[in-house]
Amino acid sequence: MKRNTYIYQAFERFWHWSQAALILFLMLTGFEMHGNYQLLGFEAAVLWHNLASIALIVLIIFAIFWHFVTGEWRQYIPTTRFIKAQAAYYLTGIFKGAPHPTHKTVYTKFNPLQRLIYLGLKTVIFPAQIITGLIYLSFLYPSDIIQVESHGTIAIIHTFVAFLFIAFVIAHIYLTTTGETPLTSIKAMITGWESVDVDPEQFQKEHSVQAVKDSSAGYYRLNIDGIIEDVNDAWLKMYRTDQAEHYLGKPVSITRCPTEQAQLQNIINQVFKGNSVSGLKVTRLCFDGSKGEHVLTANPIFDGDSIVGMEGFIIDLSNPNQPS
Amino acid sequence: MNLFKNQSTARFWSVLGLFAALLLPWILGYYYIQHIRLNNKAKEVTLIREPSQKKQGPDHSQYSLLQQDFETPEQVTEACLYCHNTTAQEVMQTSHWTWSREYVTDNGDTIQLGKKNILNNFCIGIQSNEPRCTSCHIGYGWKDDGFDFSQERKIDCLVCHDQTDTYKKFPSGAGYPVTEKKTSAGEAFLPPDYRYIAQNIGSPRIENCGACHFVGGGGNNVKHGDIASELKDVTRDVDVHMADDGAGMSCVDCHRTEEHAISGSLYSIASQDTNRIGCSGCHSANPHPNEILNLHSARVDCQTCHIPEYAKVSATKMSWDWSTAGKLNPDSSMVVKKDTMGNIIYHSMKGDFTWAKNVEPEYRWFNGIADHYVLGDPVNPNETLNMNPLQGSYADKRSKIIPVKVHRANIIYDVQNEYLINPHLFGKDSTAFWTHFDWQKAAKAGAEATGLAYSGEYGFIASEMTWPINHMVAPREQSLTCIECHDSNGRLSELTDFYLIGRDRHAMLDRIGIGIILLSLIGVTIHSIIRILSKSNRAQTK
Ligand code: HEM
Repeated sequence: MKRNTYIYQAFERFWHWSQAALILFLMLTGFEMHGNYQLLGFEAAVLWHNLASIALIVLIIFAIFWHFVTGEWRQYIPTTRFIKAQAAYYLTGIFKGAPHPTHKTVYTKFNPLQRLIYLGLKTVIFPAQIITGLIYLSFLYPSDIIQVESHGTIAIIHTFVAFLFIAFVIAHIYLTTTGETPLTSIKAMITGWESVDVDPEQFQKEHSVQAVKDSSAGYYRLNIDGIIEDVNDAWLKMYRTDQAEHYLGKPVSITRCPTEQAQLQNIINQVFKGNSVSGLKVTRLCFDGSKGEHVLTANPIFDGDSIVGMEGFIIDLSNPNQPS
Repeated sequence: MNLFKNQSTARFWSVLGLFAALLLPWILGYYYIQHIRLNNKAKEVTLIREPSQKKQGPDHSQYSLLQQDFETPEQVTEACLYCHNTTAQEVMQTSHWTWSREYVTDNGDTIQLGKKNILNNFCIGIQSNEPRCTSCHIGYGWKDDGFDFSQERKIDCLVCHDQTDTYKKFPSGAGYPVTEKKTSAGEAFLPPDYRYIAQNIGSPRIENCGACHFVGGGGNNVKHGDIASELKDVTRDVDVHMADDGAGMSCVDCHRTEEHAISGSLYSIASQDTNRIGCSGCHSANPHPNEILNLHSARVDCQTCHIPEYAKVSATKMSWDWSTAGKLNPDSSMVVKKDTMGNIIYHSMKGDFTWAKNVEPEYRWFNGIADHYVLGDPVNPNETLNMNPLQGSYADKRSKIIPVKVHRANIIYDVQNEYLINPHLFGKDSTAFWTHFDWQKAAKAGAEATGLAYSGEYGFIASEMTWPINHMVAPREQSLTCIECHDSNGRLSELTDFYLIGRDRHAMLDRIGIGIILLSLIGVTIHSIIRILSKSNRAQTK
C-alpha cells in the first residue's frame, strides 16, 4: 500500500542539495586548478575552492550531528538481504518492467545497493577527499602544528578521488531516474514528499487516531468513576471553550444542568452494564452557562472482561453547519 | 477542498524556503570572493622604509684647495684625501677597489676571487687584458699584474662623484681619462676639466653608476639585461622604481652605502649570502591583500612575478660563439655584421652573437650562495659548463625561485688539459687575438699570464652563465598571473623537483580516473537505451 509520505526532512533536503552544489562546484574549480580548462581564472578558482571546501566541511559536521540525533544513520547500516535481488533488478528486472524487489518506506529509504554505496561514499570517499584536502591546506598555510614537507602524493590522491566523485555523480543522477517515473525521486528530494510503501495496519491505526482528532463530531471518554479523561477539539467547541483543563479530570455531571442529571446517570448505568446507546438527543450545559442540544453515542470500554470506562461521540444540533 | 489548497501552499512555501536557504550561502560567498577577496587589490604600495633623502653636502667650489689647475687625476685624489683623510682606507676595503672577495672552494680552501681573476663567458678574463678591462676600475693605472693596490692616490674619486657628466675614463686607458683628444668606436674623449669637476662633486647619480654598470661586456645592456642606460630616463612600464613618472629613485636609494661599502652583490661574481638587498628593505613582508600570494613569498622571490621580462628598451646579448671569431675580409679588414636593430651579430674580433629584447627570464632555485668556475678547475667537454651555478633546490628550505638571464657561449679551453683558458685578447703586442686573430698565440700567452700550462691544443666548450634579474620591476598590472606558472607549459616548466599544482599530474592515475568516468558514462548510456527500448517493446506487446 502506497501513501504520499513526508520522507525527507527540511534539513535533510537542505543538506543534500547544498552538498550536491558544493561538490559540483569543488569539481569545477578543482579541475580548473588541475589544468583541464579555464573558467573562473586560476586565482578565483583557488579562492573559491578553498572557501567551498570549508563550507562543505561545516555542512558535513552538521549533517553528521543530524544523522545521530535523528537516528537516521541507521539507514546506512549495510544489509546483505535482497542485495542480490536488487542487483538482479538493475541488471535485468528493470528492463522487463518487474516490480522493485525492495520497498521504500520511511524506515528504509535506501535499497541495499544504495546503502552500500552511500556508506562507502561517507566512510571512504568523503573522508579521503576531506583529509587530503585539509593536508593540502595545511601545506599552503604552514603552521607549527602540522608541517607538510611535500604535497605531491597528497595532490595526486586528492585528484584521483575527485575523479571517483565524478563517476559517483554520474551513476547517482542516473539512478534517480529509476523511480516510479524518471523525475519522482528528484521531486521527492525537493519537496520532501514521496509516495512510499506503508504498513496497512500501522497506517490504519495512525489514521484512526488522526480521524478522531480531526473529526467535527465531539469525542469524549470517561473512566469508571465518571471522570472525564479525554475530549477532542470539536467537543470543547460545542461546550464553548477551548481549554480542555476546564473538563479533564472533572466529574461528567458538570456537563448537565440539575434537571438533566437523572438522565445522564441513567445513560451511564446502561453503558456500565454493557449496553451501547446511540441517537439520543440531550441538552448540555456549556461552560459559559448557555445550553445546547446534541445527539450522543455511548459505549463501554473494556479491559479484558471488565468495563473500565465509557466513550462516544456527540453531534451538535443547536446550530447546524451548512456545507460551504 | 480548502484543506488541499492549504497543504499545497504550505508545500510551496517550504520548497521556496529550501531554495532560499540553498541560495543564500552562495550569494554571500560570491560577494565575499568578488568584492572582498578579488576586488581588494592593493591600490597603493605601503613602504616600511622610505627611500633615503639626499643630503645637501657643502659647496666644494668654496674650497681654495680645489681652486687650482690639476695636471693629473691623481692630484685631484690627493686634494680629496686632504680633507677626507680616512676615506681612502674605506674605499680600499670595498670590492669596487679590490675586485675580489673571499671565496670558499669545493675542497674548503678560502681563496681571493673576483673580477680580478674570475672567468666569465663574455670577454673571459682580465689577466693579460688589463688596460681594456680596468677602464671600469675605480683606480688609475691598473695596466698589468703589477698594479699596487695600496697607493691611495690611485683611487678614482671622480668616476663616482662627478656631477657634470664631463668626466670619462678612456675605454682602453687602464682607468685613466685621456690627456689629449682621442676617439674610440666613434666616440670623442676630451681631457677633463678637473678644476670644474672637482668643484662640482656630489653623491653618485644614476649616470655615475651607469658609466660602468650599464655597459658591462663592452656595450649598453650587453651583460645584465636589466641594467641599461635607458634607466636614466624611463617610464613606469620599464621600471617603476627609477621612472620619473614612478618613484623617481636612483641606484643608491636601494644600494645604500656606509663608509663607501655599497650594499648589494651580483652573483656573476659574488658567492656568499652577505650584503644582499631585497625588496623587503622597503616593502612589507605581506604586501598582497590575497593571503595566498603572501604565502608564495616563502619560496618565490618578489622579482619572479614582478619582473615578467627584462631588456625592455635595448636588447641584451643572449649568446656568443667565440669559435667563429677571426674571419676576415679578403682585404684583411674586419667583418662586422649587424641585425636590423643595429646590434652587432658578427664581429671578427669576437665571433657570432645573438641578442634579444623583452626577454622572458628563466627561473632557478637560489639560496644566496653561488659557486664559481675557478681558473684551473676541470671541465667536461661533453657537458655544458655552468660558470656560476646558483645553489638551491626545492628541498633546501632557504631557497627561493628567482628570475635569471642565462648567457650561453662557446668559449676557448685547453683540450688536453681539460680546463678553461683565459685568452690574451687585448694589446698591441705580438700575441693578442684582437690584433693577430691567432688563437694558438692568444691561448699560450693567456695561459702563461694565469700560471697555467697550455697543451697546444685548444677547442671551444659550451658554457652558460646565470645573471639574477633584479631590476626593471614592472607596474603591478603587468606582474605574472597564476596561470603563467601553474600550467603545464608555464614559466616554471624546468624547475621539476617539486609538485606544482596546475603544472604537474600523475599521468597514469589521471588516465585511470578519466577511464572510470568514461566507463560509468557508457554504462549509464547502455542501461538507459535498453530501458527505453524494452519499455516501448512492452508497450507494443500489451
Ligand atoms: C572539503 C573538502 C576539500 C578540501 C579541503 C579541498 C582542498 C583542496 C586544496 C587545498 C587544493 C589545492 C589547491 C589550492 O587551493 O591551492 C585542492 C585541489 C583540488 N581539489 Fe580539492 N578540496 C576538497 C574537496 C574537493 C572535492 C569534493 C573535489 C572534487 C570532486 C576536489 C577536487 C580538487 C581537484 C581536482 C584539485 C586539483 C588537484 C591538483 O591538480 O593538484 N576537491 N583541493
